[in-house]
Amino acid sequence: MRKDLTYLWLEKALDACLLRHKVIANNIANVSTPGFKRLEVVFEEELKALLNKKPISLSQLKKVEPEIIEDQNSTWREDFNNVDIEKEMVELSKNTLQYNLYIQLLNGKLERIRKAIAGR
Amino acid sequence: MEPTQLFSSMNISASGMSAQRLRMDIIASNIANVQTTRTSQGGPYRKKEVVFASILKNNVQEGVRVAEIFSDPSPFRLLYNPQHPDANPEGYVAMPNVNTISEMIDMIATTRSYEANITAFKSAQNMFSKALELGRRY
Repeated sequence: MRKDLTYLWLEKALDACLLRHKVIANNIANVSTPGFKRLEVVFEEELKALLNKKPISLSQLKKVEPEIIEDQNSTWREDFNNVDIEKEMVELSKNTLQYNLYIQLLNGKLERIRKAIAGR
Repeated sequence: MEPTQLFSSMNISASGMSAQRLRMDIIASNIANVQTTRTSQGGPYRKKEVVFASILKNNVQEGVRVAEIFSDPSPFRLLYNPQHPDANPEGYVAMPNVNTISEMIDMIATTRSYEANITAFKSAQNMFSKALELGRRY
């Protein structure tokens, strides 16, 4: 199958979701670890910046990789852990929904190809 | 797509669950021993607490473990009870430094943290089954 922009974009987005899920699960597991700083995955921002400057080439999109960054600020807890469990749970369900959305988009695209081949 | 990513996030949630369960065991032991004046180390029971530490695998943080179980060094509660066989010459008995109320609060926090890990685990399951649906009909 020819690799077009949408496939590559969806592949990268799904990968970023998996990585983000791992990072959020790690934040949740470390909710009471003293001195732990929450981690975050940055991906969409980079992608958005790329989408703003048209036209986008395949090689440009290939270079966009999800990045893990450490959240250093907000030391409101006395054990210097900055995990906010409510925030993590929201991020978790957001991320799962986003993943499901991408899967659905990918399924839609595959369905159209099937229709084109079968002719109905 | 890399399925190992999702497997390792399941392992992370599992590590969180077992760490919280160990914390729960310690809390149960504290509550059970709230009146214990004799231990194998001698003297009354000392309140125990866990220390969590994150696991590092090839410089990537992957889950949590209990690094240490330590005894709280704070002083024992003194209770006036001259009939008690462990009373000192002044009639005071040293009771464990366990505070039942704070143990109960820790217990609730532990339960909630355990549940949060379960939710993360369930999300991973959900994502996995969605990925299996991909291209099923074609």
